[in-house]
Amino acid sequence: MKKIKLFFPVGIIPLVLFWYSCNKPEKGVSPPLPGNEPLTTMKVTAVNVNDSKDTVSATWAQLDPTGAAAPVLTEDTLRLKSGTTYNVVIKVLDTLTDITPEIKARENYHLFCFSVSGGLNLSCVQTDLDTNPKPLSVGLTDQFTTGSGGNGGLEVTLHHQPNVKNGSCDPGSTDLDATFTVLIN
Amino acid sequence: MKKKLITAVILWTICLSFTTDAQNSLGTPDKAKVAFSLTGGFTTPFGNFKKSDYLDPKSGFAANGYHVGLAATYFFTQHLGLNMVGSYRQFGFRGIQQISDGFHEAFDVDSTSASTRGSSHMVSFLVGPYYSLTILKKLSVDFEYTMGVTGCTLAGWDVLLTDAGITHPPLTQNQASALSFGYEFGTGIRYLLKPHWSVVAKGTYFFAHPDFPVTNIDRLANAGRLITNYNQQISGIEINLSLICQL
Repeated sequence: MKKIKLFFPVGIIPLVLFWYSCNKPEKGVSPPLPGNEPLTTMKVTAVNVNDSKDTVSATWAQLDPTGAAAPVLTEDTLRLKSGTTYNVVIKVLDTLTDITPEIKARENYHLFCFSVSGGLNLSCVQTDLDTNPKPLSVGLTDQFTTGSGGNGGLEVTLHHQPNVKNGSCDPGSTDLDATFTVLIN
Repeated sequence: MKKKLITAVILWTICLSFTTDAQNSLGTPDKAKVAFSLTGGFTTPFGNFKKSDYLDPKSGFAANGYHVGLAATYFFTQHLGLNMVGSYRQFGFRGIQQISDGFHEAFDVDSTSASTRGSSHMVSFLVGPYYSLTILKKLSVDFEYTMGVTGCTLAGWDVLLTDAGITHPPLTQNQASALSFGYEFGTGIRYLLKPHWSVVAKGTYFFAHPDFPVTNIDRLANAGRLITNYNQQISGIEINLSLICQL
């Protein structure tokens, strides 16, 4: 009888272990982090490719985190010359901190898109590329080419495209949406 | 070196002296030539394979697991035999939360969830010498060394990114498999329960070094942990209990 008692645990161990093997997959969840600073400010600086002294800039800021208050446009409107090409640099800030280096570090899933309105004769092309297997535009540096004179709006949107970036503006969500007044003369 | 050599010679001499006095290494009828065993036990991995550092590509995320095996041993003499082992060893997964957190940070999304894909495990077919040394009437010390082929599998995982209310298709690291040379050695105490039946409690070291080709699905962006091969040794120790039947 004693020996039967000894056999039992020895025989049962492999069975228990096989049962243990039918375990469910392990899971981990990372919830949203509290207190993420919202992006508040976008600054566009344009340098005439033929005259580096011809530098213009405009800043858009939305300091109200609820978005209820109207955004603040400083440094006036973006005043560009007609028939001119500009090298453009975009900076993004949250209240006090320059977030641009962080966006650069995360360029593989960020994209700046441009949309003109009001019949504005302006073309905007991103000139920087990310480091994805198939490199795609980012938009932290751009080239603006103006046509004939006029004025209108330039909407600049920063898209967050985690693992869905494909070169178009559609996938993902919008981190920041700023509209500038542009005057071409 | 000299000390080690002397120690080895002393141990060998002791072994031989026991051998001459031993009645029967199996503690079974003298004509017993073949023994079959069923083994089960707990496994602890070593080294990089057990690391769970998200940023370290050498991390294998293996946790403690279990081992089961069947073996047949043919004894040429009362003490020395040839052991043939087929075994299955499965490891747990440690660090799925680190993987989820790592992708959360790498893609700067609202939330992530990660789940394992399959398991890390080894299937081994090994052959080698087996030595059994009787020290008391019902008690013997057994030594074994086996080597052969080990099929190894590395667990994969899926990660879901959720941002601004949109959950994107999962990023996947597939389960990977590779063959490797493997070996094990161990020693144990065997106790004779009754004629033909005995149990062994033993400790074993195991080793394999597979080079896994790792495939990934839906990795559009060059961000987050991404490995395309995993070339690290898989080793560890385990505590086993075997039930042995001698014919």
